[in-house]
Amino acid sequence: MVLATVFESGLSMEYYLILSSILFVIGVVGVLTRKNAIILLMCVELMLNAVNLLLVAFSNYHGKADAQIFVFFIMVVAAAEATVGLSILVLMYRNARSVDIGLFNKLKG
Amino acid sequence: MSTANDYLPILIQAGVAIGFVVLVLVVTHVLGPKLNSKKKDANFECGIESKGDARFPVSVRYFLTAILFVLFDVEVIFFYPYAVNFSDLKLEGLLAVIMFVAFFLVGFFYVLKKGALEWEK
Amino acid sequence: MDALIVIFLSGLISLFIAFAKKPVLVLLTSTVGLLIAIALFIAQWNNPVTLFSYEGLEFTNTALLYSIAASIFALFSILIGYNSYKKQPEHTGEYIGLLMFSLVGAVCMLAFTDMFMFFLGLEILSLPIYVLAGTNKKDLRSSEASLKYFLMGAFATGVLLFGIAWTYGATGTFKIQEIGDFIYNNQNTGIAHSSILYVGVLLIMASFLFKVGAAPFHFWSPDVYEGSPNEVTGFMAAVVKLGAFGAFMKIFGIAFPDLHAFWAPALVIVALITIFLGNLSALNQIHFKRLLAYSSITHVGYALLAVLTLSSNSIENLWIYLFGYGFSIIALVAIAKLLNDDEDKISAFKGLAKRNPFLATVAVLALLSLAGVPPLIGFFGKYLVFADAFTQYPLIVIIALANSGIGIYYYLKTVINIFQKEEIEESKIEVPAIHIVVLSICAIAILVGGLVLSQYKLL
Repeated sequence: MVLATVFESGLSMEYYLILSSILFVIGVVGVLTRKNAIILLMCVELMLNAVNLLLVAFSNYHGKADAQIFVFFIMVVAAAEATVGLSILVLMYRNARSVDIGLFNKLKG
Repeated sequence: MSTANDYLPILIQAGVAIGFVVLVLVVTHVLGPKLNSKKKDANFECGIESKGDARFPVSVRYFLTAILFVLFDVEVIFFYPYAVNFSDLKLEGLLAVIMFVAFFLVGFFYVLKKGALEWEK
Repeated sequence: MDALIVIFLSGLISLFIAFAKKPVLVLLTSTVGLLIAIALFIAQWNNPVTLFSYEGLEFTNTALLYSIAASIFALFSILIGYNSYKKQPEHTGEYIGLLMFSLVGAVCMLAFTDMFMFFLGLEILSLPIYVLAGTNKKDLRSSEASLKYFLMGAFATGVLLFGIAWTYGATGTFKIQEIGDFIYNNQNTGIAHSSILYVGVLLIMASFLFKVGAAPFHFWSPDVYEGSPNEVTGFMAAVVKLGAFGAFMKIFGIAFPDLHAFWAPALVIVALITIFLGNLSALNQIHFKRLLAYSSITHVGYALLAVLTLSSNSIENLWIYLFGYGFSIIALVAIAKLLNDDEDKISAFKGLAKRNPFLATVAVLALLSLAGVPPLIGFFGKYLVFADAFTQYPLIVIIALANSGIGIYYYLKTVINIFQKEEIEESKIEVPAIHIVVLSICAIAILVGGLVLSQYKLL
C-alpha cells in the first residue's frame, strides 16, 4: 500500500510547504481577478487558512507548540474579520444594491 | 513517527459520516410515500409572469443573529488548549479564563442592551 | 501596560455610558481616560515598574514616545469629530469607543516584543477603522471607502501572516529579539540567507508598505481618505501611520538589521516610486482630501528614508517627522470639515482669510509645515530624516529634496486660494469652542514644536 508507506515514513516538509503555497497563491489570484466582493472575502479566508497549514507544519518541524497557538489567534481574528467584512458588505448592498466591486467607482480623480 | 494505525480512527469517522448520509438518503427514498399521477409528473408551466425579485430582502435580524453567532462561536476554541492544560495551569489559568469569559459577557450584555437580539420592536 | 488598560476600559465604559443618550458624558469619559493614559505613559518614562505587566509588551522609551503621540492624535480626532458624532446620540458611544479600541491596537503595535502581539495589535488597530470609514451610512462614497479599505487590509493581513509563517519556519521563533539574534549568529553561514527567510522578509515588508500606503500598493489610500468622514481620515493619517511606522522600524531594526543588504535595495526603489508618484498625482487634484492623500503618499516616501537609514537617531527623527505631520493633517481635516463643502473642493478655501482669520492662520501654518518651510515642525522633521540619510544615500536624498520643491507648488496653490477673494459673498464661519482649543494647540505645536524638540535628545 503506497498510502500506508507514506504515512509510516511521515510526510516530508516540502509537501506541506508546496501545498500551502499553492493554496495561498490560489487565494491571491482570486483576490486579484474576481469581481464579487463575497468571493474576494472567501479568497482572503483561503489565504489565511494556507498560513494556518504552514504554521502547523513548521510547528511540527521545529517541535514547538507556539505556532499552533498562533493558529488559534489567526482563526479567531479571521472570524472577527469576516464578521466586520460581511457587515460592511450588507451596508454596501443597501446603498448600491450590488456587491460587484467593478461598480464601485464613485471615488476617482 | 505516526503509523498507519494512528489514522484508523479518522478512517472510521469518515466511514461513519459517509455511511450516515447515504443511509439517510436511501431510507427517505424507500420510506417516503409516493403518489404518481399524470398531472403530477407533467412539467410545471404557467403563463403568468413572475413578480418581483427572487432575492427578496430578508429581515436583517436573521443576518445579525447569524453574524453574532459566528463571532461568539469561534472564541470557544480558546477553551480547547485550556481544557487540555487545565490541571497544569492551576489558579492563574483559571483567573485568566474567568477574565476572558468576563470580557466576553460584557460584549454579550452590550449586544443585549443594544437590542440586537430582540425580534419584535 | 497600565495606560493600555486605562484606554481599553475607558473605551468600554464609553460604549455603555452612551446608553444614557448624553453625548457629553461619553466625550468626558474618553477624554479623561486618554488624559490619564497619557499621564501614565509619561510617568513610565525611564521607569519600567508598573502595576500590570506582560512579557509580550515592553514599554521602552521609544514605545512610550510613539504611544504618547498616538494618544494625543486619537484625543484630537475624538474632539474634532464630536460635533458630528453627537448628531446621532444613539451611536456616539460606538464612534468614540471604536476610536479608543483602535488606539489600543496602535499601542500594542508600538510596544510588542513578539509576532503574536504585533499581529493582534495590527488587527485591533485595523478592524475598528474599517467600520469607522463607513460611518456615513447613507453616503455611498463612505461605504465604498470602507469596503475598499477592508478588502485591501484583509489582503495585506494575509500577506503579512504568510511572511510571519515563513520567518518562523526559518528561525523557529516568534520573538523579534530572538529572530535578530538567530540571524546575527548565523550570518556567515547559509542558514541566515536561506530563501525561506528571504521570502518571509519580503512578504512582511510588502504588507507594511500596504499598510502605510507606499507606492505600488498605494491605490487604495486616496479613495479611502476621500470617502471616510474627516475625523476618521485624520485618525488614519496620524495614528495608523504612527503605529505602522513604529512597528516597521521595530521589526526591521531589531529582527532584520543584519539582512539590510538584502531588503534595502527593494525599499530604495519603493521609496523613490512613492515620492514621485505621490507628488506628480497631487499636482492637479481639485479635491482637498485627495490632495492630502497624495501628499501623504509622498510623506510616506520621505519617512521610508528613515527606515532605510536605521542609524541610532532614525527612530527619534521619524517620530518628530510623524509628530509634526499628525498635527498638520488633523488641523487641516478639521478646517475642511468646518468649511462644510460637500464636494470637498480646494476652491472652498477661497476667501477663508476674510471669512475667518483664525482658521486661515492655522490652515496656512499647517500647509507650510507640510511643505517643509522653516522654522515650522515639518521642516525639522524633514531636515533630520534627510540629514541622517544623506551619509548613506546621498543621491536619493537629493532626489527627495527636489521633490519637496515640487511639493511646495501644490501646498502654495492652496495657500493662495485662502487669500483669494471669493466670488460669492458667504457668511462668516462659526467655530465651536472645542475646535478652537484643538486648532490652537495644533498651531502652537506646529510653530514651536520643531524648535523645542530639536533642542533635546529624547532617546
